[in-house]
Parts: sequence; C-alpha cells; structure tokens
Amino acid sequence: MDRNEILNLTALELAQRIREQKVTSEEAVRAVFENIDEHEYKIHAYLDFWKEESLEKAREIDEMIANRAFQEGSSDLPLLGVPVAIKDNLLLSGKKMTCGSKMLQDFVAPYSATCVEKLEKAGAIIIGKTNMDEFGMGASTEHSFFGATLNPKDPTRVPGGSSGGSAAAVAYGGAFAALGTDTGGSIRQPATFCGLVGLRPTYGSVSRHGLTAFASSMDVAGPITRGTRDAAALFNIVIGPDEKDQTSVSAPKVDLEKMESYDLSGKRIAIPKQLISDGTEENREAMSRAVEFCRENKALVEEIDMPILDYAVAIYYILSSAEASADLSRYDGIRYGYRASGAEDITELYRKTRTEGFGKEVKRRILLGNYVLSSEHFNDCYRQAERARNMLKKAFDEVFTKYDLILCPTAPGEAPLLGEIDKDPLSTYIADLCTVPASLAGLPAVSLPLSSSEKALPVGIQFIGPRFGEQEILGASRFLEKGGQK
Amino acid sequence: MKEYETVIGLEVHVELKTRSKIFCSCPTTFGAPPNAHICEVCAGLPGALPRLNKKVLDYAIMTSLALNCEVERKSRFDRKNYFYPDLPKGYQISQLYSPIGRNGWLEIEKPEKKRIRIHELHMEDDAGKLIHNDTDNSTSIDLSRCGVPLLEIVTEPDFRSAEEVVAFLEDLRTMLKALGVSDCKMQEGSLRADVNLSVRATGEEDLGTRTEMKNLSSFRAVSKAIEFEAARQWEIVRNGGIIERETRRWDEEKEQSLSMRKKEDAAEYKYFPEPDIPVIRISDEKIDEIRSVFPELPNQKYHRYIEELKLPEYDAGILSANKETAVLFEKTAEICGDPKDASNWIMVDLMKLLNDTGTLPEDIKIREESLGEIIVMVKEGKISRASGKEILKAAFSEGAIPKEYADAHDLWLISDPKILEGAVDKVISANEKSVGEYLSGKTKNFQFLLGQTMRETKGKADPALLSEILEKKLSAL
Amino acid sequence: MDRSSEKELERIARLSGLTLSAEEKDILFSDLARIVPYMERVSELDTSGADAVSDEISDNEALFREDTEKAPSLASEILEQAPQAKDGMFNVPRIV
Repeated sequence: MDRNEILNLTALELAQRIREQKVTSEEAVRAVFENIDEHEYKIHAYLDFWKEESLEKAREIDEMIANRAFQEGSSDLPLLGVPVAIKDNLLLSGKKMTCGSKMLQDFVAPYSATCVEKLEKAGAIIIGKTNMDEFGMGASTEHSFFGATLNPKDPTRVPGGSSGGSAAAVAYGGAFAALGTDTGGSIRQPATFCGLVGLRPTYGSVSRHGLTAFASSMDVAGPITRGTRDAAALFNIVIGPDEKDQTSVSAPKVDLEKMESYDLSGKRIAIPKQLISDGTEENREAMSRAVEFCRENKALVEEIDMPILDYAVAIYYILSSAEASADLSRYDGIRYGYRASGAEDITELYRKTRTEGFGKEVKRRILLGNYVLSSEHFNDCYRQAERARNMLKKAFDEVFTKYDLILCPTAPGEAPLLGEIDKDPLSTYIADLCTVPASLAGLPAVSLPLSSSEKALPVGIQFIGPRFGEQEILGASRFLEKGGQK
Repeated sequence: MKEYETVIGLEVHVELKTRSKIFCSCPTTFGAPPNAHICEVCAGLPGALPRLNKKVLDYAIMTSLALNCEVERKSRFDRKNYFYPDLPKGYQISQLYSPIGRNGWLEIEKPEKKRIRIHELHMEDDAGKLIHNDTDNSTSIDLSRCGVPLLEIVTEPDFRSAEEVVAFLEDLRTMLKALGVSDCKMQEGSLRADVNLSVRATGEEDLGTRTEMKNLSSFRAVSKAIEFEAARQWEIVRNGGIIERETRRWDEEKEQSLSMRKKEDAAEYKYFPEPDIPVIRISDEKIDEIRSVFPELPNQKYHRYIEELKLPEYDAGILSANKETAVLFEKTAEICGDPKDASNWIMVDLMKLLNDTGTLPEDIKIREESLGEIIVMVKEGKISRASGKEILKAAFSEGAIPKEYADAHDLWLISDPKILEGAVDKVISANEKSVGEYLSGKTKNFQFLLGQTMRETKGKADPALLSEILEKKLSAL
Repeated sequence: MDRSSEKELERIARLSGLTLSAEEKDILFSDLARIVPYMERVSELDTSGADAVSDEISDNEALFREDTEKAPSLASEILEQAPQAKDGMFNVPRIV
C-alpha cells in the first residue's frame, strides 16, 4: 500500500490490514511521521513525539505478527500496531507532560494514566503528546504556552480546543486516532472544527487516574477519530472501573455489530430550543439537514423546552472554575514543575511561581474560582450553581424518560479565525452553550461532522444520550455517517 | 467563690491506627526516613486521585457511635483550601458540610460526673512536617506524614476547668485505645488537643472572646496552659482590657502562651465538596455491623465492675482504664472465681511491681492466665502467699509460668499427710517435756511445737494441714 | 464583581496565590467585570427544591479501598523532580 492509501484508512481498518500483513505497522508509523514532517512545522499539533522509539515498537509488533505470536482476529488487541496520539494532560510514564503550561514544561510523568495504559495494552503505539489550551482551559488551543495549533482544514483558523492538538493531528494524518479530554466540550468542539468524530463518554466510565485535573467533577478522557467505528473501538478500550479512581464506574461496551445495524426508525429525538437559538447560517443549515434526515428515516423529532439550559454556561463556569482553583493549587514550585527564582519568603515563592508559571486564561479561571468560593459569594454563586446543576441533571433525566436522544449543534458556527477568540472571553464562554450541558450532567455525547460541501469548513452536530447511552448515540452517529456518505 | 469562670472547648486530633494512609496505600509507620513514604497521591502529583481507606470510615463510624453521635447517612468530604508547604495539594481533604458524626457526648467521672457535648467528629488527612534549618535559612519538607488518617473531635464549650479537660482527654484516650482505633500517644503526636478558651465574670451569661492554643504535647501541658491562659485573660479583662481573637502557641519551656497569629488575617478556607470522592452512603446494616463488633467501652466496664462485681470505685476506675489491666483482671477473676481477690492482687501486688519498675499499665506483659493460676495455688494451699508474690514477680518480669516456676524453685508446700505425720511424730518424741506441759494444760506450747514441726519440714508444710495433724496427734496421746 | 473595588480583586488574587501586575489587573478587571455578573445570574434561579448533594454514585462501599499498605515505589522519582532539595527533603525559603 502506498502512503496515501495507508493514511486514508481508519484506525480499525489499519489494524486489520496490519494483522493481515497487507501493510506493516512500521509502514504505518513511517507514513504518519512523513506527514508530521510535512505538516507539523505549520500546524503545530504536537508538543512531543518520538519517531525512533515508535518505529522500534512497530517493528517488534510486525515481527510478532510474522511469527504468529498473536491470535488471528484476537479481540484483545484491536489497535495492534496503530499509531495514536494522546493529549498532553495525560501521563505517560517517562515522558514529559506539560499540560501546555510553562508551569510543567520540565515535568516528567513518573507513572502512566490508566486510559493510556489501556490503549497500549490494546496494541496501539503512542507516538506523541498533543498541544492543548493550558490545563484544558480554552476553546482554541491558542492558550498554550508553547504556541497555538492551527486548523489543518484552514490554517487561518483555530482547530478548536482544548484538545486542538489531538484533533489537528488526526485531521492532517499525523495520527490515526487520538485521545483528548473533555471538561466542557474540549473533545467535541475541536473534533467538529476539524471534521472529525469526538466522543465525550459518560462521566466515570473512563478512569481519571493520570488525567491532570482541571475540573474533577467533569473531566473525562475520550477519543477523537476519523469515524464513529473508531470512536466506539477506542471507547471500548479505555473504559472500565479503576481502583485508582473511586469515581470510576463500570460502563457497558458498545457492540459494534449492533451499532452497524442501528436504525433511527421509531426513535424519539428531542431538540432543546435553548440550544438552537444562536448560530450561523451554516450551522442552522446543518441542523435542519440532520433533522430532515432523521425524519426521512422515520424518527420522531420534536423541539422541547429546557429553561434551565439558559443558565448552563453560568453554572458551568462557576463550578468548573471553583474546582479548577483547587485542582491547580498543587502547582506551587515546591515539589515539581516551574519555580520562580529570587523569592525571599514562602508567600512570595507561591505568588511569583504561580504568576509567572500560569498563562492569562488559567489565571482568569483561578481568580473566578476563588471569587465564587470566597465566603461573601459562596452561597449566591457556588452553592446556587451546585443546586442548579442537580436541577439540570433532573431535567435531563426527565427528557430521557420520553426521548431516546437529544440532538443539537456542537458549536454555534465553524472554527473561528486565529486571534478572534481572545478578544472577548465572555462571548467565548457563551459559545460553549451546546457542549456544557452534557458535561454538567455527566452524560455521553458524540459530535460528528456534517458539511454541506467539500470546500466548506466542517460544522458538527451532537447527539446526547442518557448515562451509559453510548450504544445509542454512537448508533445514531454511525447511521447518520453512513446516510450522509451515500 | 472564684470571681471569674473559665469556658473551654476542645478540638482534638487523633491519628488513626491503620496500616495504610487515608487516601493511598503508603504505610503510616511513625519515624520513617524523610519522604520514604510518599507516592503520587499523598505528594500531590498531577493526575493522582484520593482512594478512601475503608478502615478509616469504619473507625470514624465506630468512634462516632462510642461518643454517642448521630452518624451522618450521606457524608461527604470537602476541600479546605490554603497554601502551606506541608500541604502538597494546596488543600486538605476534610469534612465541613456533612461530617460523619454530630451531636454526641462523653461523660467524665472526675472531678465530678459531667456530660461533655461533642459538636462533631470528622475525618481528614494529616499534613507533612517542616524542619527549619538555621544554617542556610531554609525550611525542609518531609511529606511522609501527609495522608496519615486523622479524626477531629470538636467539643462544645462545656469545660470549666483544667481538671475537667484532662479528665475528658484521659477518658477519650482510654476509650479510643479500647476501640483499637488509635495509640493516642501525645509525644508522637497521635493525640493532639487544641484548646479554645475564654473567661467571664462569675454569673455572666455571655461568652468572652476566645483564644485558641496549639502545641500542647502532654496532659500536663494542657493543664498548665489552661491555668496560664485563663489567668492571663482575666488579668486583662479585670483591668478593663480587651481579649484579642487569636491563635496562641504554648511554650513548654517558658510555661507561657505566646501569640502566633491574629484571627483577622486568618486564611479564608473556601471549603467546597471534594469531587474526587463519591458521597458516602451509610446504611443501617453498616451501623449494626459495626455495633456488633463493638468492644465493651471503659466506662461501661467501670460501671459493671462496681455494680456487678462489687469493686470499690477507685479499683474499678484503675482496672477499667486500660485494655491491658481490664483483660488481665477479667481473666484472673474468671480463673480464681473471686473478683475481689483478683482486684486485690492487681491493685496491691501488681501495681507495686509497676511502680518499682516504672512500667505503664498499657505496657504490662504477663501471660493472661498467670495471675489467676497463682491465686488458685495460694488459695488451695499449694504454695504460700509469699511464694505467690515471688512467682508473680517472675511472671511479670520474665514471663515465668507459675507451675513451672514453683517446680524449679521448689515452692510447693507439703500436703502429704504421711510425711507430715512422720514429722509430727519426730517432734513429739524429741520434745517430751514440752509435750508433757501441753498435755497438762499449757496450751500455748502448741505454737512452739508447730514451729518445730514446720522447721522439720523446712517450712514447706501446708500450715493448716500441719496444725490439724499436730492437734490430732497430741490429743491422741 | 464591584467595578469600584480594586481591593476586592487584590483580595481574590491573594486567595488565588497570584500577584497581578498593573496591566494584568486592568485586563482581568474588565474581563471579570463582564463575566461575574453573567455568572451571578444563577442567583435568580429558584433552587429551593433542589438537593445540594447529587448521589448518582453511591451505595457502593466496594469502591473504597481495603486497608493494605504497599511499599512506595515512586518516592525517589518524585523527589528527583524537586526544583530544590536538601537531605532527601523538599526545600523552601525559611518559614517564620
């Protein structure tokens, strides 16, 4: 297979070809690195990669396959020999982990994240760590200490964020799939902007052990892939309860065959009107095509009213900033990471280190978090938001007694131009309206691209399901993906 | 009557006796080399999450029940946020909004019976240790203690004197040790008490401004600090001064409290619920299960010893105060069948041994059955009381087994009538004169003859049996 | 946030363990002056019927850890990353 043929494969297709010895893992890794050589200097999707080590691993795998050391069709190694990337807030033992921050620019992970270990156990070759908004805070990957990532679909635009590096890498063929993390939309939104599938799994289904916390009650790792089947495969690999994360839970795997035979006929789909009021022309057009498609396929689509969603962004920013303010307190220059020089006393050491080590957006969130937690504002802000979050959860529970799925856009429009976002932080926050509700409620949500033409920038729609509803939302996503491709 | 009244409340920190830390599996051993017992969780590395130790929860529920608290059925942890170098995560994982135990009490017996109300009881993780270096003007940080499980017990301001406070702490320590949840060693910091104290004129109802005192490492220090601080405050109040709300440190050498920090610049802790640990649901079954393995508590033992076993209050207090003395007493009483006898031997003979050797009651190392066996041997006339004491000393200091010791040291009394009759016959024939006088009415010669026979048996005759045989033989002449 | 109270921002910065330059203060101040009122809209909501404690993950004592200790294996690797260490300990400017 030539390089382009290889690069056009999905992760699962590649794994199958490698297993069948139609292509070697080494060839796949080489193809990816040739692409990285070609694109990386302008896109800047990666913060770190290791070519020789990856090739070495690939050769070992090829040799084992040649020696029939693996069972044909073994389901334990679904990604055998496939090069994948991980976001740089996930720990991989022995490799640097920076979270896109000066604060951790020299930090070397002494252990691996559970989801990363699982990926390696599934046979994947982790080839590098991808760029991100510092500590996951941002929606453009411009808030990285190491410089912005550009959108491979249009380098004048952002790739979205915070998992923008993961999305860009997969989009330009710098990896066959990637892990991102999603707190308020950081998987779904960049996947949308880069024309990919992004899955935010049910909160707790993927262990957070080794995922650097931004907002503990919402952080979850998940896949960014070229298609729904890959997303489902990666989901099946990384899920599972973990004694190292007591908030982790056992979630059912997605049955890929069932997913293929999923039919929208007879499904009840709700569209919360609060999530479609804004948005660009392209976006509304994409939504109406999706709705039309669902109806053509005999699904019942109804607009519903969820008034609490008007508050979702406010609730999200109060709670995520509050948690972030504590989750990021450990960066103090004492045990690891950046330490400011010239501090005379301990208080100065803390303040200088944190002031110099954190970027603007992170500081903004920490300040906001401290504000909502300080005693004067605690009851009006934090406590109120905590209760409102439970109201929102209940509202979703209620919707899912009547509907199978929620359909909505992923973002208000296509990828913004570089530098556009930073001008007005509040509008940027408000642009998270469609992604934060699932985050607050801990629900699974998948974003899939839906473009009107080849030239146009990708826009995406999103399916939200009930807790552990991955089979349902990925089924719907796959159904649309197949229909859309026809 | 005193012109002022002291009002005291306590915050007691107890280190729990678990094998591993509260949120990770690092060992809790005291005195490890610096930073030997740290991992990604307790050292606060990125991506590491707390993993609650079940035993900590069990111990917290057990202690809540023992302190008559209501157990919170839906308990949560909260983050207490502040920056300090001994706190790796920048927050302590504690409980503010739904502590595990609330509204309890503990009854003290001294200086008089009084119920001290417990405001709350909660779980939290301990901080690290700071070592200040004079040579280079730096502070070194040892994180090995980070994550050692703590219970914080907060009382209502129910104490009026140092005696009450010390009595409470003693009773609490006894209870926690009986429950097996803590060693309560003040010197090692496994029991730490902060004292909140205010004064007011006698008869006044409103509470005065209180200060908080830290660094109290012994009961004596607690007592001294309370007396000092109360006097200091009253001196100010009496002269029309104002007490400042502050934290003070007790200086053990100078025997005075010194201001540490004023309350107005105290940190704001920004507590909020810990999202990394699920809500803890505690079922009725769980509480029943813990109750079912509950040992009898020291104050229950105390009352049982008085009411059922008819021991004097003083004896009951001493015997019930320690698990070791209580176990020994009960085993001894069971073997010898006489609680009073058992109590006497412990209170008199064993306590003397403790005093002579400077041993604490909790450090008694004696085979549980030994004292009971000794008492039985004495009561059955197999050994003398003096030998019993000798054996007890050997059992106490070197773990001697009473019967073996008596064998080895030839302490058994002779109770074979034939041997004793032989000895009596010998003495009668050797002392014709004295026997004659006895028979003609000089009864006091009996003691002389008994002494002679005792000497004949080298002092090993069972005295009662010997006396019986001598009397029989003489009357048969 | 009260636009007039620069003191408030300074207090929040202190709580945050941050020092803000005059320029940063200006930017963050105008950002927060817009963001905070938007967030504070939640106070309009009637949440009286809502529970503060969500309990989707509960009744699962099996989640918690047995009390078994493990010899720490990462201690030296953790200490190696210290920006400043002394005699096997993390080191900072002297406290008090």
